[in-house]
Amino acid sequence: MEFTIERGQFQRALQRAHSVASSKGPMPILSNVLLEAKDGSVSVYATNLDMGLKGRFKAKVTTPGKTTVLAKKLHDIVRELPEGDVVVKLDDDARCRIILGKSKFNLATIDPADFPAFPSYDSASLTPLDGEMLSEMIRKTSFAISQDETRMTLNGALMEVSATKVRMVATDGHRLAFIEREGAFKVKNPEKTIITKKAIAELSKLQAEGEEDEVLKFHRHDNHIIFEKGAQVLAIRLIEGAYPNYEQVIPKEFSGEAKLPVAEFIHALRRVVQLADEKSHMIRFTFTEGKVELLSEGGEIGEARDEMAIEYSGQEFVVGLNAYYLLDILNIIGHQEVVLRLQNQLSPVMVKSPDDPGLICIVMPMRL
Amino acid sequence: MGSKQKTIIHVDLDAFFVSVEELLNPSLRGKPVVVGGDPSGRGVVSAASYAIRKFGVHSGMPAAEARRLCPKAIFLRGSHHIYSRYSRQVMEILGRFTPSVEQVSVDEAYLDLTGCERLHNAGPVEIAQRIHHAIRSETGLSASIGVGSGRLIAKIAANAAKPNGMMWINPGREAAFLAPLPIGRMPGVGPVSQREYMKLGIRKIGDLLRFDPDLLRQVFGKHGAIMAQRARGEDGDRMERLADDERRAKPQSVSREVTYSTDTDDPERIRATISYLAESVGRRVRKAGLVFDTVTLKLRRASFTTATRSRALSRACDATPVIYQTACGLLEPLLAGNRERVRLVGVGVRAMEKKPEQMDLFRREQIARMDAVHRGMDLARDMYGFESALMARSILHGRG
Repeated sequence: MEFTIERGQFQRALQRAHSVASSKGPMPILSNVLLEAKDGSVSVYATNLDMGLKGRFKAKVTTPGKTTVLAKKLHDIVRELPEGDVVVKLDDDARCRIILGKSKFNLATIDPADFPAFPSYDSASLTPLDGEMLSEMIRKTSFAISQDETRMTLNGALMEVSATKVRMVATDGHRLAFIEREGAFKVKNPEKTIITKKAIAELSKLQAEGEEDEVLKFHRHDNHIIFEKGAQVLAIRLIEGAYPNYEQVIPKEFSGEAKLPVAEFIHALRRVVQLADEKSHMIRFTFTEGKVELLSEGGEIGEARDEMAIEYSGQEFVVGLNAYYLLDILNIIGHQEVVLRLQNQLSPVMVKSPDDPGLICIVMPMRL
Repeated sequence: MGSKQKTIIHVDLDAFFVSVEELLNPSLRGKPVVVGGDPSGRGVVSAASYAIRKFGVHSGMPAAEARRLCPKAIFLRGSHHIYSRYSRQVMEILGRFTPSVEQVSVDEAYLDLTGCERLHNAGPVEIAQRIHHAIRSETGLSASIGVGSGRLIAKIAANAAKPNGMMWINPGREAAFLAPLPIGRMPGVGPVSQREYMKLGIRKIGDLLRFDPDLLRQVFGKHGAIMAQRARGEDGDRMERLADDERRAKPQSVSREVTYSTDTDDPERIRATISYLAESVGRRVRKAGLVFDTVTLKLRRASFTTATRSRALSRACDATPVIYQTACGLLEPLLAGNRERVRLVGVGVRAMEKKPEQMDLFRREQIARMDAVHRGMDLARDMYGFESALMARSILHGRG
């Protein structure tokens, strides 16, 4: 195998690949990146078994072939090379040479036959999906993905695609973010997939980095979902298991509604949370006619109180909420005002944007 | 608050369980009465009348030994729900004198009377007398009362005044009062540390003053330093408060155990006992306004080998079924690995101060239902005693 590739292009390819490759693990080959040169291009493929990323880049192929080398080392070397064309060459001694001008490196390789195969898929079965829209949906839900490894299915976001709409849901059991957007999708049955937080992040990068005229496409295949954009393909192994019944926990009836200015609310929360309990970050909210009072009790440290004029009519309503759960939502609400819908002290509080019916966030209160 | 003189009263009911039994059956008065377990089995004395104490019988001793010491002793199994009713009545009386009543057990409480003198238009001694009189006339029980500048002094004074007495330690006279008392009278000095103190020639509380506090700290650690301070009468309320604050912030253990009258290898019976103990522990946790995050099961076998197993919960709660289910989960492997009969079962939790608890979107229905049942049972127990409401499984425990 021998090919020549422009340094900048090669570095971009390797940057993504080495972030996907496992840095450590039981299978050393997973720390490697697979380079395959053929037909005027080189493909760069890395996988950690949960997620695989493959990109094809233009190169001058002298001898077709393939090999695998340590992803991080190769990336770090290429990053430090000066501008120019890099020659990559597999020698008979199974060493991979990297040459640019007077800089020469030779890296140990592992037999590419041992490298896990990229999940197979048929390009014709790919369904286009608005990448911008998907990015927005990811941004507005992924904050709620659980970090608690004991609840496996919550460690990812649920993506549900039907013929006319796509939904994304994330929850950690304490709060939940739901977003629904319309579209036309070539799916026979609604596809429900749970995608890990790390893969979700990788998907956002895939969407952000590609060329503008490239269309994001996806396809569900067995326990994988494939995303393709231009010459890059991301294969994600899905989290198996049933996602909790999120529709059931989204409240339908409310006893009161409050409308608050977002910027002012964010500042008040940030002030009052300073003296909230260090673990629960709880602020006690008291809604009364035309105002809300925020109270935090930090035990020995002290207490904080604040008050905001808001639109609220109805009975006095007291609820304890984790301030950071609210702040996470306010950061993505995308409007100057936010609507809180209240039911009772044991029910979730709904947080909505006044002009986005497709976005629903809910926060479970604290038991006072 | 700072330098203001505190007035603390300690009220301790005399031979409480026995006194209640005497009220219910006056013919028992003056007789050697023991409330506790079965003297022909492995029962333990929970209370001894003053008449039988002369024989050397005291609470905590095996009932069989009590019978050996005093063959004429009258053994009663006790009716704990009646005791709790009397206890509540006494605590209500105490609550009339000051809002600041801290009940420490079924028959003991501290009252902070600081600043109440003007309210009652009386000095501390007179208030103590009124309390004593109210308890006597309204319940028929006799109490011993200690008055002092701190909880420790008040408690030791009440002990010194027993039975049916009252003692006031003048502020400033604390050290003089404590000095001649045996070291074992100091709360926190048990038989083991008593022996350690004896080795240094410390028999009386006053002996502590002859030692350099640093030496005491070296020998007994923090405990020694605190003891020295207390012996100087410097304890005041402050030290106790400190300990209280620590206790509140730090996890504490709430546990209960029972010894079977005959050893058992019946898993159903053991589970029934666990259920009963879980209810009792759960009730105490909720009553104290605490939550727990770890459940412990203790099994002692016929051969006296003891196994203890704990499991941490993913989140703190105060629900009885969680104690029961977790303890049963711990029981399975213990029983599977060892067929030897079981002599004692204990259930405990690591409890801590309750904090607002984040509720879960997907688990709330179940929790809410469990909560409702046990909180309802707590209400019934507030009125009619612990055993007025029991889960069916726990009832089997008593029928073993």
